[in-house]
Amino acid sequence: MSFLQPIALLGIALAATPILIHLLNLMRHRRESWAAMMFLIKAKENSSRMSKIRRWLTLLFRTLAICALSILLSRPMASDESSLINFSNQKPEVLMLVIDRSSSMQKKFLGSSKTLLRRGLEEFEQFSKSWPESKLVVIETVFSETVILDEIETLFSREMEDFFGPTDSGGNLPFTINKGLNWLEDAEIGHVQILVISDQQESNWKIRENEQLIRNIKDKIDSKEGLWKLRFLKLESAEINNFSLVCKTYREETDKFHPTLLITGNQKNTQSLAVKINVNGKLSNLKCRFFPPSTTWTPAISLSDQPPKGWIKISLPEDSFSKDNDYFFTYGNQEMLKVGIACKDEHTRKFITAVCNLDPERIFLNETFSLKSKKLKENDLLMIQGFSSPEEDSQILKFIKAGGRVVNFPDFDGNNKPQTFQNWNAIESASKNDFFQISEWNRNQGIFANTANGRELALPYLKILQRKIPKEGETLAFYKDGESFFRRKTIGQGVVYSFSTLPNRDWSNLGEGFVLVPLLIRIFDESSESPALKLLECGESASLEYNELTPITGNPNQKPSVNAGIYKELGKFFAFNRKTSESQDEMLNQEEMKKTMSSNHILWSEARANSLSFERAEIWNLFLIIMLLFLLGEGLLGLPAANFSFGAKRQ
Amino acid sequence: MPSRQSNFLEYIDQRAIARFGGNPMLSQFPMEGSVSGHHKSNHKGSSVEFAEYREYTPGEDPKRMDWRVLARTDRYFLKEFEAETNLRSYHLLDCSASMKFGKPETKLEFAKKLIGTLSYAYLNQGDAVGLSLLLSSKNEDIPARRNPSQLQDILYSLGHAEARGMDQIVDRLHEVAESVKSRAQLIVYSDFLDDPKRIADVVHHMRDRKHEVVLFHIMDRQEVEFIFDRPTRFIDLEGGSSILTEPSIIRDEYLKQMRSHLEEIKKICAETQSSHYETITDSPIDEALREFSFERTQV
Repeated sequence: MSFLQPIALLGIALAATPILIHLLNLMRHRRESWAAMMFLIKAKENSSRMSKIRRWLTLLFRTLAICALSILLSRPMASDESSLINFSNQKPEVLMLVIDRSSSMQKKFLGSSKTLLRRGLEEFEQFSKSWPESKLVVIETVFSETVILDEIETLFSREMEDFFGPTDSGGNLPFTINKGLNWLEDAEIGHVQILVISDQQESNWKIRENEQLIRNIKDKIDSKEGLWKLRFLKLESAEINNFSLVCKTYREETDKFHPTLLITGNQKNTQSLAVKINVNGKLSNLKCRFFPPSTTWTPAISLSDQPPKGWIKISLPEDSFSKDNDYFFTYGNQEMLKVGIACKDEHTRKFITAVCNLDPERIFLNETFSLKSKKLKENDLLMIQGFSSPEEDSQILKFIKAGGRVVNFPDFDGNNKPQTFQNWNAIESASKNDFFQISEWNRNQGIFANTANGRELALPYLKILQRKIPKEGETLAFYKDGESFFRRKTIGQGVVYSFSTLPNRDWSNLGEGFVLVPLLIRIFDESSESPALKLLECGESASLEYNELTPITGNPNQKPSVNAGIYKELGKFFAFNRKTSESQDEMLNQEEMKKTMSSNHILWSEARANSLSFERAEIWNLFLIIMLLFLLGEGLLGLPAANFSFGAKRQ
Repeated sequence: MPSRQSNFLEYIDQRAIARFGGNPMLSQFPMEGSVSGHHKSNHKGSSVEFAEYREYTPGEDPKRMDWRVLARTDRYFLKEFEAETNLRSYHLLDCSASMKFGKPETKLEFAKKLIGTLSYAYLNQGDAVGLSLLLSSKNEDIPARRNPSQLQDILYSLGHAEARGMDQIVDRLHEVAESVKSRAQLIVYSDFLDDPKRIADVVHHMRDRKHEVVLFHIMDRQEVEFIFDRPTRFIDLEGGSSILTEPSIIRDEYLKQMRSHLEEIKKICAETQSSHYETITDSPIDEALREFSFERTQV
């Protein structure tokens, strides 16, 4: 409970008045000559304990009535705390707002025409009214930098839209919250109220990835023993008819551009969508047949009569949430991928060479390459198999750290000597009838992901006779016995892909190509994605680096970190898109989170549809009733006993 | 006693006289008067009011024999007539210090008005009226007389009566009961703040002496309601001792005690066929006397 006129609380001191009057009355009593002393003496002797209790109750009721009067004059406001009065909650030094600025916060708030972000800011404005003297600090998910506000109105000013306005980015809330807590710790702030406004989209929490971070947040809040309070306010979006557009992949040809698009919609009917294609400002329409709930569509966009380098914008028809209707591409920036092969196993070398030759327009095979040449940096991707000297290992490591990629196959001669960038187990052999089989892999993303039309890679058909398990890196595919078939390890700017077997008949049927070919093509794709070429997303670290790019719209406020669109620099185009994960509708399981972050000082609530959640009603009328009840009680206690008639009635 | 001019005519309430003066107020018991009057006498004999026939007993006066009855029945009967005599009404005023209490006028002043009004009424109907001021040490008496100057003497005496000293009403009433020889009406004006047993004794004593006993129980409204808004030190009018208390706390108990005392006195009066009238000092005199007058004019 807080008060709009706290000065009136001084009136509580007046509650002592009845007691003082009582004492003063005893001291300054009146004198009365009296005849019927015989009754008086007996009455005083027989005065019961109940009478004394009644007197003290009367005094108490008068005191409480004055207290209630003082409180009602101070205009009390209802508290959302569990307890009616929480004095520890009175004056936080800092009110911190953590803003989820992800793109999904642009959706409309339930039953309102305002966006979730706007509504969240208004909630914080209301929240801050309870402690007008506290400092206001804001941290948001794009830059994760704290901003100190002089006044709450700054949140809504146009000048601050770069910091608090809408974005097309994603977000990592645990990271941002943790950063905010670190700032508070560094600033040695004692008493803090932290409000996190978010739609609690799961993709902005990355719970598995941030498990440790979430635990840290809980521990930090708990360690402050109530001085820091963290409130999560969920803003629920309205159920609206919406289509969203994301790109899974794309393929460039000389005069054609083939994006693989995933159109998702919450409409239940099959319908034809008029999709606008804008190539370098030239508009055309294509029809797309949409089958609910999602459709993968690969249009062929003609680039004939277009400049060699340019941009493409694909737009779905306008709907109630148009932020996810557009997708931007650039073309003509693609360069050939330089691949160097250093394989001791002849079968492996032949196989890889054959795969590289499948797309000679895209892949340049550096056939003269040798590990000893020390010119590794001429390549984008290395295919390595077999023993390498420590000197060569060191060269390769440097290459990886500088952003190079390596596909690593095991050595077949039983040499268990570790590489500087990978460690291996000993070679294992399966019996003739009992092959090593692959049972599990990441079907959703990465190089093992299902195809655009939902087909799985044929990994269960692999028959592996010998294997040598790489020990380091993230496992993307597992054998039945839980061992790693394939690992991906990031070192510096680069990546090492390690297979556990060879495309050699003595080792496996990997050489039949039904798994290895798509895997290598995907690795080529992944390796081709230099910042200039790949599908950049707003809010990612790359977008922050490219913040100086000029938007083709000419709007100076448009930045790649927050706004999707086409940007240009020195005649080169860059396409930044809305974060793909923002189109996922999966929400955080609040019950699970409450368990994970179970703490008395972490509160979870949902924004009310009709009124602001922190809008606190004045409750003076409650205290008026309480005061009247006390006065009534006092009056009843002070009622004279029933009179008896004596003699003639007064005229 | 020589008659004296009095300036205390305000003790006679004209409104009450106008209201009750038409019909004589009669005694509820036979009286022994010296002259003929409106009241029943305890004597029977020759008079105008026939009472009964009674068989003659040898030795009785043959003059009162009814000769017509003897002629018709040959039996000796005496014809009895009821005597009507005058009343001697004694007004006994408690002059203890407790009678000094009361607002707007004291209980004593209120009692004086009752006495003055009744004295006038009784003298006016030919009855003898006397006054006894019951002081703590002795009684100051004016014997009952029926001459008109008696009113002046009574009013003068009332005018100079003051409430002072300890309450000795019971002792004084015992003295009055003894001193009034023949049957009379004894009207006591007091607040009766004494032990009910002692009051019962003296009422019985007076009744045993064949007197008609009337008690005017005079109280002040503050005594009856006991409403005070703050702590009060009560100082005894008769003794000077004091009690500091919060009246609101003991009020219930006070009223209970008072009610109990009143019930006791009512009970005594009922047992002794005495009359008890409760009066409050802020009542008009005619109202205070209304019940008394009604009961006596309807006899």
